Amino acid sequence: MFEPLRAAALLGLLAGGVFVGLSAQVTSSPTPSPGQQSEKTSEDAQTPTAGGVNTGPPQAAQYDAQHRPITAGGFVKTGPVVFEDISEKAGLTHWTHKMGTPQKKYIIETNGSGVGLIDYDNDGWLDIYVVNGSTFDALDGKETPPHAALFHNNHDGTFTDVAAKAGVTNDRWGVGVAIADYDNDGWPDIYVTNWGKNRLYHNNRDGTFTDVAEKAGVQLGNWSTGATWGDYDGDGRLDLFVPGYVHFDRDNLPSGGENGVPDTFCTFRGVPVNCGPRGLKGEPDHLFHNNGDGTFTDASEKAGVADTSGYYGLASLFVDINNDGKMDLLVADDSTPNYLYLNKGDGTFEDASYQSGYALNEAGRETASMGIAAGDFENNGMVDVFNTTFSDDYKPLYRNDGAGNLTDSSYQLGIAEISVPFLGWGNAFLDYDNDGWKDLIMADGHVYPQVDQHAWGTSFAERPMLFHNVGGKKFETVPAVEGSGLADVITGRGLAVGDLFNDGKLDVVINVMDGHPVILRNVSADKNHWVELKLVGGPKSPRDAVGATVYVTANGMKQRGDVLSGGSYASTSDPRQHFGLGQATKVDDVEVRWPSGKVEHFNAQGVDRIVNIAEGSGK
Amino acid sequence: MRMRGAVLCASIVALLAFQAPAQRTAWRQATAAELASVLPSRAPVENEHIETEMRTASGIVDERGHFIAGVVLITAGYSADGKYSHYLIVQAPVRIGDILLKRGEYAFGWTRAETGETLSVHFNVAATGALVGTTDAHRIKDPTRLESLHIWPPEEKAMIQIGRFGIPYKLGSD
Repeated sequence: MFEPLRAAALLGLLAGGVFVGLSAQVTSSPTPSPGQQSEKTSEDAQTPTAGGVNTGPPQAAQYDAQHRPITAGGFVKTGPVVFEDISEKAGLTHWTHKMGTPQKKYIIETNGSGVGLIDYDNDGWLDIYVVNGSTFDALDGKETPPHAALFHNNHDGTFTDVAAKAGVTNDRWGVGVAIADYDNDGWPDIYVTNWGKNRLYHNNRDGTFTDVAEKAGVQLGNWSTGATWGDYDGDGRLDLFVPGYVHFDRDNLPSGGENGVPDTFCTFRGVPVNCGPRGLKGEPDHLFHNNGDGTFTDASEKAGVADTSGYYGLASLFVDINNDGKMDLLVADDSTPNYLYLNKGDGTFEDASYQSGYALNEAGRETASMGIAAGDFENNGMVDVFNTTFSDDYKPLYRNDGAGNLTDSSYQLGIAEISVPFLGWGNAFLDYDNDGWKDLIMADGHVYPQVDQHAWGTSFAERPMLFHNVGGKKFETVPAVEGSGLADVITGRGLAVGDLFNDGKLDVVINVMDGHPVILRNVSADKNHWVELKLVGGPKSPRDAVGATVYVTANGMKQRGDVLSGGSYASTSDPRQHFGLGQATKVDDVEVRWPSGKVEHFNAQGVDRIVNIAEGSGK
Repeated sequence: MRMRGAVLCASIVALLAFQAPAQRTAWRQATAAELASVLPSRAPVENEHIETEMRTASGIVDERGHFIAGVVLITAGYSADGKYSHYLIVQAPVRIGDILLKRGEYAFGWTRAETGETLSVHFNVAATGALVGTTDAHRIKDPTRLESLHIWPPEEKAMIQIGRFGIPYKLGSD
């Protein structure tokens, strides 16, 4: 699979063309003292500087004119407003996320939770499932456990929490959500990961759900994180992958110098903080094969994705990386190498993490990976991958070079240095201005409250970042206009993208740790056209078409979309495929490559509309 | 002109003299077990003993059991925090870029150039932190397996790979 590129690499080396302008300098000038900061924000030596977290070394603090850290400031007074924060008028601010105490003494209290977009009642409008955390007091019965929320879309810009009525409050220490129709009955189901036993909420088709996780065999029991659904073996049924993070033992709480955790893994820039993940035991990953009878079988070891190394998994995503029609698997690991498993088509995977380039960033450093976004930002037919990482580190955007090769191209694409001070979590590709090029968004927020007490140029609450895609060649930061959604300074965690109001503009929902969820309504002033496709798989594909790839040709461009479940950080976005069309008033072709292997072409019949497409009804 | 030519010739002769004897010695990729036997789990760097990430270890060994081997340092929490990325053991002289490293133990780290196209790698004596020199690692033009560290055998590439970047090396003799 990699042979042509490997051969090319060798030829290049033999030709002596590898090193251009090699220069060296022997100097007697004094070396920088440890921790010395340069004048500008840039990446330096590759070792971890946050004791328990693998990130870059301390970077120079950046402040705005009001001396706010750039992560909590840097706003502009005027400019195009892309997102409006409508959380309050939408009715979401009555609900509050809670995870541990504000001191964040333990790592379990600080990673926050995810959000899922789901049309649970099949009324054609996206509803919102927001996972809640918990507290030690709640676990001990000393206070009411925080409830998850299921916000029903009222079709008028407001939402109503129906979680209790629907039976999906979870009431456990909630982490993530992955949504898909695992039993192919045409109704989306909800998988909730927890610290503790996970939930599989089966959709009863009447506005309620039943937790069937135990019967299905997918409960697990310690710290599960960002799960993903995908049909890895091509049997038409969605399988489930659940990454494990840290094996967190309440009876042996980690603290510096105690319980086997070295003191050095409990500091950040020399300041004591909560311990981990380094120094803590990793929780393994699990792949559950869907048996088709409501039960699952753990196939992790057989398939070769069991994470025997115990890396700290936070996010995962089934997606076809090498365009062979089979679902590959990405796992974003915190402070340890990421995994890329290429699907061999026989029920097993090849670990291509290092060979592909996805394991590390381009400087060879293991990153504190938090979230995964997948999308074809170049419109070249191949899925690229964007990972969020810790502060003091840039966020790697892996360009897909084909044949399973991913190249970290953040510096070339202009999103490296600007992203260094931010600690990113949920992320997604989205064409917010419908110009036909996929842009990028990420939710941000630090894990250590202590950062607000020091002049480190980062902050506990941070603003989200939006990057505009300039023709697939470059990304530019979209300025945060004061008062707009991009100027929300929040402890962002999970993030999901979807067209909440069926107006052809992609909105964003963020789960805010210890805060109210945020809806960023897309109010971009562009007049570009769009089309959205809701796919329905046939008898040999998953009913919700997870795993399908769509190519839309219009305006002289061919765009790619993928129906996915999971990714981001512990979140699931709108399964409908959205395409900005620029000024095009017609779609020339819609090509769908179904999970069954069938390839069909469809006529979208106009623009600025949502179109249902069923497998077997095309040409 | 004549002077420049003479200097060039002398440089080439010196380079060949440095390279020839040792490069003829059979060097091969060291095994994981060999690396574990020669690289410390806690590396002595500037009066501290810093944890190493042994899964990143890489090195070469000759038929006499001499190693050139390195491993990623976990400098978090130490005074070396952020300064060094790797620990390097040199048991036979080696010229990395234009920096001659004698037998000994070294720590190295890097900073990224503004263009993002090169890493400026500084080599220091591990025990004292004394700077030995700085050289550039350049982006490897063609895709190759990504590594935290890969010290390639001389017959293959004679390159120290750090991520997607590489520095050529030449082996010498005492």
